Amino acid sequence: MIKVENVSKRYSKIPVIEHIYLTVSRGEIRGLIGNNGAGKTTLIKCITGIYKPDDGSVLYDDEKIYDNPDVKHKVGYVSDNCGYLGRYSVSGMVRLYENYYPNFNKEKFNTLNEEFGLSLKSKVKNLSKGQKMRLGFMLELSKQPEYLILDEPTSGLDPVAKSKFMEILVQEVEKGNIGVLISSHNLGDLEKLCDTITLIEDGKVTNNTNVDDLKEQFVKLQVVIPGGIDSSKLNLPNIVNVSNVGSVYTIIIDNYDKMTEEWLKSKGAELIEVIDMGLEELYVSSQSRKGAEQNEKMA
Amino acid sequence: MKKWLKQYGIRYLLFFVTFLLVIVRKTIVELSSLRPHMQVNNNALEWQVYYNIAGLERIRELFIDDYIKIFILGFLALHFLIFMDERNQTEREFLATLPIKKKNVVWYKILIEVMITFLTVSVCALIIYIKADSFLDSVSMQAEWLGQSILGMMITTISYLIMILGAIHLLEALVIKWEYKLIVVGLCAGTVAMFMHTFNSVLETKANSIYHKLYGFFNLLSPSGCEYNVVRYGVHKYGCWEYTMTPVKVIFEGEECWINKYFSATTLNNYEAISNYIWYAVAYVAIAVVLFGVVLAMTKHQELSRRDFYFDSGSIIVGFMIGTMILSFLTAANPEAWTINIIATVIIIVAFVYIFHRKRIIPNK
Repeated sequence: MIKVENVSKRYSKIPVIEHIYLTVSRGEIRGLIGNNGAGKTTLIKCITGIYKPDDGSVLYDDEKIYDNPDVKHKVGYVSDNCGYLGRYSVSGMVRLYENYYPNFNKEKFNTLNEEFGLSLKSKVKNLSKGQKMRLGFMLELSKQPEYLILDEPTSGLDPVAKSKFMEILVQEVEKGNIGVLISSHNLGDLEKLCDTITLIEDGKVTNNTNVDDLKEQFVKLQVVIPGGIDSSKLNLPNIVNVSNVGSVYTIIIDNYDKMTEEWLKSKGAELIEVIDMGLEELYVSSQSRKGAEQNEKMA
Repeated sequence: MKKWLKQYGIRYLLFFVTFLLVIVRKTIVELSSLRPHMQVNNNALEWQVYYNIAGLERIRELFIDDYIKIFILGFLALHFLIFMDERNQTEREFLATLPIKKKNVVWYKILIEVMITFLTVSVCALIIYIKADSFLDSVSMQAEWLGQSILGMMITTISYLIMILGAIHLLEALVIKWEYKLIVVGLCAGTVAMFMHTFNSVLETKANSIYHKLYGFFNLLSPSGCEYNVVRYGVHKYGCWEYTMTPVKVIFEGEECWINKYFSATTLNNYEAISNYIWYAVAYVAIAVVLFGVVLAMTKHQELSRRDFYFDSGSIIVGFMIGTMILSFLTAANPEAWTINIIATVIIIVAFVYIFHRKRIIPNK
């Protein structure tokens, strides 16, 4: 299990992440979500042992990763730019991995490469971003890691490669019982892949939960109010967002309960229907709710 | 080490072979310039012996001057090759994910570079001995002390070069960026050279003395014992000096000869006695060990989230070095204007440190 305990990291004394706690068990896929500059990549670099946390610890099965080759053997990391060593060719990178990782499975790499189709002679620096991500994914999976850390793994991938990537990832997690941490802005993908989600804002974890719990917290309703009503009148504190087309209103509500239902009916609602909401919409709703709360406080 | 060698071994091997070829070629070319001095007049045979032995002084120049320069340039080239894999942040971060301890990497580099130094200088010393011996044979002379002296020079030069290696590694350990690493080491070489030059000229102007123990120690002059044997006269701009005479024994046409005159090969002959150089060699190695120890201790704290230097002190040290070089330039140009030179240098150091000490600006913070 990956245990991130009270991790803080500062750049020139400016805190970037503070008191982060999270865990990733083997067989679990955890998503890491946050705005730009929230500290996701810094956290991932601490988790992969590139950065040393200023406070706290990152443990893999109770062993620290920083400067610890024994732990690094079992961790795969696909970074957001997958630069690797630019001068090396793809086959050179394979040789490098064969040299450093005794578990590296070249056959597996070749099988994956049949799917992703990279030329072994190409230099890493000449690959496009998507090709680099494919290379990173293939190399790290062929290492047969126990844990896999992915930072924006689908950025730059075309839809076909993305779908292959997701399919292979799920298969590998099931087959190899790998623990996966994925940071991504593509919440649609995360929703399909992840069991659990960690929300990070301004360097702090604000939510550490599973996707279903998060979905239970926010509810999207389709409400019909005959004759219509001014949207500003739908102003309960837990209403996050209101939009309408004619007399059909779409309302996102935090902690929807019986009282809220009664209140809506009192406003003339005749048909109230709960509809499915994606992770992206959920995230945007939670963010806009926070924004509104902050504005209120400031006012 | 096996894994690391598999990645970098070929580069070290290529470097070693090229470096050896360059340095051996230089040695052979330089020693080929040894020309036998033959006197026709029997009365001048003493001079014949003197000139032929004096010609061997080139050996000492090779060791303390040419080899040092070639090695510093060579190490710069080697590190350029090795650090090719760490040119940008992505590459450095990728290397940090490899399952190998940072300390071990530095340790392997030091070990392999010390081995290269040892092997190269030893091979050169052997070539020098063979060439010098055959030269003396060609003029019907033998010098029993020659092998012992060359061995002494070899030991001193190796230990001195290991100290230089320590300094290079120490400076590199401060700097994160690939391009800065090489600039800083190049600057260091320039700074040391300029500092020595200025120290010399300032001492000449201010203290009326050319040789100084510290200067001699860092310039590899002291081990030959020359500063102890110098008597300085104030008759020349750069002074003139003569050596305390140590009679040198040579065998000429089967007969023992003692050369009592002043001649410049005295410094080469001084290496015959181990006691003349061994403490210097020990001091150089001791300094190198301390420097390597500091470097290894520093690797523990090197962390890639820093911007230009791994340590806050890095910019101060590099700033100080640049300042020292500028001060050396200014002082070399005008040794009397000490005050203004120092003020200008301090301003430059402060500006440098300020530029490199700015905090990283983080969006949304």
